Amino acid sequence: MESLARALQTLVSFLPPDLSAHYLLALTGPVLESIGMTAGAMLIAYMVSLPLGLYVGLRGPGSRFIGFVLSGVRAIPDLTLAILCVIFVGIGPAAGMIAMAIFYTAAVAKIFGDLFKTADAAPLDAIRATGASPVQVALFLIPLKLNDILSYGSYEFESAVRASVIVGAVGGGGLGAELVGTLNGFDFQRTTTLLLVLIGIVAAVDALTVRLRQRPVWLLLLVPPSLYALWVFQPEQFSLLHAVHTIGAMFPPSLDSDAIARLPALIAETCAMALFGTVLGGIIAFPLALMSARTIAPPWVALPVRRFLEALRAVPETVWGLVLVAIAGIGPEAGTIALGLHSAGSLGRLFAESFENVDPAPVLAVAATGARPVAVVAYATLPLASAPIGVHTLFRLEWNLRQATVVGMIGAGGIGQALFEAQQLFFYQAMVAYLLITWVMVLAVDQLSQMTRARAGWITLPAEEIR
Amino acid sequence: MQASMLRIDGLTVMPHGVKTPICADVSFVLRPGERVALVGASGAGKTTLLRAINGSMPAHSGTVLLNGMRVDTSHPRSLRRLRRTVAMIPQKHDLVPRLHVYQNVMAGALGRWSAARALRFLLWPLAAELAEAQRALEQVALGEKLRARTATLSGGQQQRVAIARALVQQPSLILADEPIASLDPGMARQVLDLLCTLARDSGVALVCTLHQPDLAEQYFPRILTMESGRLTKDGPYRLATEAQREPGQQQDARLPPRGLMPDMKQALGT
Ligand SMILES: Nc1ncnc2c1ncn2[C@@H]1O[C@H](COP(=O)(O)OP(=O)(O)OP(=O)(O)O)[C@@H](O)[C@H]1O
Ligand SMILES: [Mg+2]
Repeated sequence: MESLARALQTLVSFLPPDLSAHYLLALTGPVLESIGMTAGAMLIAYMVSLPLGLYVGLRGPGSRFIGFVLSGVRAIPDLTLAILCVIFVGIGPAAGMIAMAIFYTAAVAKIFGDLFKTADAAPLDAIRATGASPVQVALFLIPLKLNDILSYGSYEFESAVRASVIVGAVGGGGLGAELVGTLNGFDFQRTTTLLLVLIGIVAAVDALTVRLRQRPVWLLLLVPPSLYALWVFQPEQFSLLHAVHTIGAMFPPSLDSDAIARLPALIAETCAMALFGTVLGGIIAFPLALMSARTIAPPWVALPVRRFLEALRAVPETVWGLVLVAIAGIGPEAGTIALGLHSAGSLGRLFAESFENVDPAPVLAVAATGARPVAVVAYATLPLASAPIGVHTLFRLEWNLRQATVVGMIGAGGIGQALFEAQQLFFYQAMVAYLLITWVMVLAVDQLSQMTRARAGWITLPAEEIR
Repeated sequence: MQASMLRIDGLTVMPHGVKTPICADVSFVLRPGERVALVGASGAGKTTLLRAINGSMPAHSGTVLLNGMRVDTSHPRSLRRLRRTVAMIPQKHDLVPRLHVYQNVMAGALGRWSAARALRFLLWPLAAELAEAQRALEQVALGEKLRARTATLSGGQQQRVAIARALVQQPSLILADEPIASLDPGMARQVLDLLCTLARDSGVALVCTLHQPDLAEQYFPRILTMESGRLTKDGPYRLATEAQREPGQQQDARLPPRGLMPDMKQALGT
């Protein structure tokens, strides 16, 4: 009870946000740094993943192995990569940028590979029959899949903008570093400002990518500034000696017997966080989705609720986690609520789309009996939307199993928290052991979700659920 | 003067972005207990006319008066009250596949149920309510499907569930859009008997679109014919069949015994 009171007290101290001109002006630096990191990292990611994806898509020799490596790299959480990069190249945007470049190269290449694999075979065979070289065939594939490339590519960019705050939080510079600074300094009103800035940036990027998708040529305009960012944020010093020394301290990974005995409980706690986080997210998302479905609620309700859902979703789990650890203290409660808040945003949007996409005929038929709007929703819209809603929730549970290990790494419970504590105490051998365990867990969940996804092929998934 | 149950004057339906009206200047009057067949080639606008009568499709101009009240300009709340008295049996049945049959059937009662009762019934149906659903289903010879999942029913069975839903509504006007399209000939007659008896004995007015001229002639004293959105004939069977004929058919060709075909719409290849 007392701790709840304290948490509420802390919560209140987040308001109102510090919107003084002085502070907003001071934020231009971190904002530019975050955007620059993202742009530079994504330039590398797109440049490398397009040929790589084409190669995998056309099933060149060894492409299975490449696909395997990509899955493996992608299963290393961005936060883990950032922690490692900070250890190797020091605190600053360079570390964050490198971490994101690695993660998103693997992620985008995997998606592009899958896209090109599903290209229509007939026109490809026709091109091959003319005696075209493999490079010519590859160049022919790009326009064939341009729409998909643009939509998945821009979704990954938006996701990278959010991730830039995560990697920043563990020493990768930009908004994330600023955010951790405000939390450590109990400057909570400024934390709120930063969250609002992040929500604004994500919304702006979203609007921009929608425009750019219609005129892809303009994307070329983004290349020079991204190159500039790449040059500005290049790692200043990379001391090989230091790196070798650090790696030496990490190996061999080991855990003492106490830690091993605690492992099952930690893994169970991580799974429980994912489960309760998903349930919490679903409970918040459901009424909000009803209120934001354009076919159910009037626009003056639907629009603001939709904005609210987008705001919840714009803040990644890990960032909610940082804030909640400050409010509720270290432990699984913070992680669960963090997962719940972000899931509420994601699920709310997907649920709303499910409601909007139901077959209108049965809905009209029930409405035609003179039924009240509540009854129409209960007797037609809900049962018609229940299948996609169930599938979205299951996929979110899978995603949260993955994210529960990651969100723990900033102190929010489960196996991630053990990693966090080992890192804080410089127990590098234990830290690497935990890193390996979380990596295997994430890899297992990724494989599991790919299997279920293949089985649930009957439902078309939005870009954010293709992973 | 006999009270009119439904009075339509100069009704034109023309959704946004459509060049020619789907229903053009349609006028007719229906008395309580009267039954009419609405015939016409595929795409003539029959379904659209029915949808304009119950307010699912906005009118572009003209008026629809139901028991003396305007349907076309009603506010949502009063339109809802009006709709309780009009049961639509949709052409494609339009049931909710995931619900149990009794839930789809009792959806017909939603107009008179409170919101709380509607929600309670979904989770916890009372025996009396189930008995009502059972009675309606037995009238369409589907008594044994009360608790089945709607998705598992055949097309003809789903059509009969939609009819049972209309019966539960206790309407004063039934708009039946090809209610026998998916039924075998025996069942088709049984359903038409049921609907026509309802009209004769309970004073329910009935508008029924049909693609079977012989059945239209047999069951309906009055037949409305639609041709590309216009009501061209209002009278007995002989006049109606002229318009039913497909283009390219010989003028004097004897009509095939269409009533024997289970599904006229399929036979016409539409
Ligand atoms: N909402 C709409 N918007 C645009 N056009 C429509 C709309 N609804 C119907 N139409 C068009 O109006 C015409 C008449 O459709 P309607 O469904 O009323 O025909 P019908 O007489 O019921 O045909 P059938 O016998 O095949 O059921 C069709 O050409 C259809 O494409
Ligand atoms: Mg029709």
